[in-house]
Amino acid sequence: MNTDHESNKNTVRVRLFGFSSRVVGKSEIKIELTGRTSISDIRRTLLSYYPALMSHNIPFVFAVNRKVVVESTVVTHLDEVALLPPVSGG
Amino acid sequence: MQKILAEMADESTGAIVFFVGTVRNHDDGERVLAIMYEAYDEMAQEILEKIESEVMARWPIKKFIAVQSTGYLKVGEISVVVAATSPHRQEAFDACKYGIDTIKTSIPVWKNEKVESGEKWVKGVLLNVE
Repeated sequence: MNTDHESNKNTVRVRLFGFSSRVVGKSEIKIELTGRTSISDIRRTLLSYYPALMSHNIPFVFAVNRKVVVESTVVTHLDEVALLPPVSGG
Repeated sequence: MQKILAEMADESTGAIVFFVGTVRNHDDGERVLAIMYEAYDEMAQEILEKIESEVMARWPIKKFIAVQSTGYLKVGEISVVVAATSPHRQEAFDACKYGIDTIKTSIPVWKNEKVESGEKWVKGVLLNVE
């Protein structure tokens, strides 16, 4: 995790929806990029900082630039990542 | 609703079908007081447009509209409208059914129900990898 004054190129924006924004207390956070950072890495980082994301027993997937992706997808600072719990629109 | 009805009017079509979803006062055995609809707006909009394209490609529909409400809705308020207009009624019914069935499993919208015991997130379905 990092604070706002650190370089933008070293972080990726992660938007949080549903239960996850309540758990974290924010609607978006920035995750540090280290080498090739995948969605799987982002998931691991999020769970390590916010273990309560697991205790709700609610699964979630990730979107990169508004498309749901596999966990091996690598992201850069230019991407918009979003944590998506199970949807219930309509 | 009036606005959508006006938009759907077309002299070349003989059928306008609407599906209107409203907030129900119960869910899973509990009384519901209201629902907060949260959306990933940009992604939801893209997917609604994709659904519209799919409908227009699949059926002879003249116009198709799908609108999802967001924010705080009370029981009885309209949460979603899907409307189609076509020369004949069958395709309009089919398009609306496809529209609402697809919306329910594919747009990034989350319902947080305010119930008597507190609040709870509706269980929902995970989106698939595209």
